[in-house]
Amino acid sequence: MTATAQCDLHWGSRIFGPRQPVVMAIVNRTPDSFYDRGATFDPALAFQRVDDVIAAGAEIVDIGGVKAAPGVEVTPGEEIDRVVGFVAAVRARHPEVVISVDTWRAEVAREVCAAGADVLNDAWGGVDPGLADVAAQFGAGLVCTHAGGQRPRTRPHRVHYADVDADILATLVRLAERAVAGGVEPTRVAIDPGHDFGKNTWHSLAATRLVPRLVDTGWPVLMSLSNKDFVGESLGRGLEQRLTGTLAVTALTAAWGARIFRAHNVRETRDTIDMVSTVLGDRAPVRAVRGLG
Amino acid sequence: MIVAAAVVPHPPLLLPGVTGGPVPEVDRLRLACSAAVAWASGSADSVVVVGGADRTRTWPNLEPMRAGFVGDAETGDRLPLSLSAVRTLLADGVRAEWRSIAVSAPAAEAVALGRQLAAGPRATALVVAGDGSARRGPKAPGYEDERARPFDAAVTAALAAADVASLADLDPVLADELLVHGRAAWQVMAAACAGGAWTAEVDYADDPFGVYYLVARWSRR
Repeated sequence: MTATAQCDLHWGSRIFGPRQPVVMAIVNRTPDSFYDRGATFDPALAFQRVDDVIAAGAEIVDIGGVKAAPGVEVTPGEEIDRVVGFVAAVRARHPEVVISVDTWRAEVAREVCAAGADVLNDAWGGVDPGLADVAAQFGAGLVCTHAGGQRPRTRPHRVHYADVDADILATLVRLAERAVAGGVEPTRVAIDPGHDFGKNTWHSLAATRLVPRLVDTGWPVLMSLSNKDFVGESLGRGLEQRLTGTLAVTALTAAWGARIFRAHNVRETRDTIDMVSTVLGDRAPVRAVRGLG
Repeated sequence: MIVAAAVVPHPPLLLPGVTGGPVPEVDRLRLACSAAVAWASGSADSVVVVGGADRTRTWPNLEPMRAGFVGDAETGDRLPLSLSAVRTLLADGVRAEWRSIAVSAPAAEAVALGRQLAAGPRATALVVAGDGSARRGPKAPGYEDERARPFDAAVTAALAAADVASLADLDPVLADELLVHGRAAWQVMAAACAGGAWTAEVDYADDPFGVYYLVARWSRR
């Protein structure tokens, strides 16, 4: 397969070039998400989190109202209550930041786009085809994810792929092309191999190794790695001890051409991808004076 | 005849893009350097630039070379750092004659070049590129030498007073030991300006990166 060149990504009012990796900061509007355990369910703390991640260098905030793992049922109405007002307030407070909303439901998507969201992060792999229609209708961006055909909020159990690489590649290209055929702007679509979603650790490691081929599809590649179980299982580390492993995969995949890094630890992720960009010659050092005086 | 002279340092930091992002100390230095060079080149009919290098020579045929450098189109030699630094400071369109003097040249060689430049028929501005000691403290590139600060202070005083005799007397051996890269070029200036009456001004004297930088201007009275 011949490689297709990466192009600019148009999200919100921003244009991100092919060699300009960006940080998408996770902002949970949930009482129970796995890493922060509801730390920003309180609106004041959620606003503080948004201010902090922007100051730490995030170009994008990814707001989620439903945790990914199984748990207490969150109805669409409850999800809308958690997210829509917050999106509108963030839009008013930070006109420049790209606002992404992590949802699989078209009815929620419609409300958040009306409230000012720029991107729909469809982390459950297109279970609701109406989501792409909403993106098309509002001129929003869309993240197409490989989730192995799992229903939302389920854990992978004895998942089997005949060929996980082929499945991820074909699914992502199909989802992206379906979105564009449905009217989503091609420059607003990104793909995410969906680490840990419908995948055991072996699958997620394969998905990581697949990144160069995902980059070759031409679609901007989003990496959602942050503190995930595949990192924990790879290193034998608990939830609080996965940052180093997360950043190692971040650096590797940034060097391979992944462009959007969804992260809890924004400053560390920013530094990691900035360092990679600097080594690659895509970014100048901030202050190079040593030995040059 | 030399009618004006500007003294500037020549760290690689002054070359375009070297620092990556903007560095405030370098911006401040560059501002002082550019102002002095612009003043000198605007004060005369022609400009001669003198800077220390591996060897003494003229640079008549400067052409762009690979990777943004310029050099001698015939030999392929790259323009030395000291002259390259001044080249980035000179306004576009200003033509100059480029001269390098060996950093280790004996004083007599510097004097000979200075006299030759002074004998030219046109009203000429001299731009002299030279650095002070790189041994001014424990964090300096050449570590600390207690003789460095007195040496630099003497050069500063001589430039501030247009004291050509003191510049001419600088000790080449001591200058080498102190990692001073301006001694020979300053002595070219001393010889070129000998016998005149000058108004002198030191615009900048500091060592933000452990190397002593001086910016000075001399104007013939």
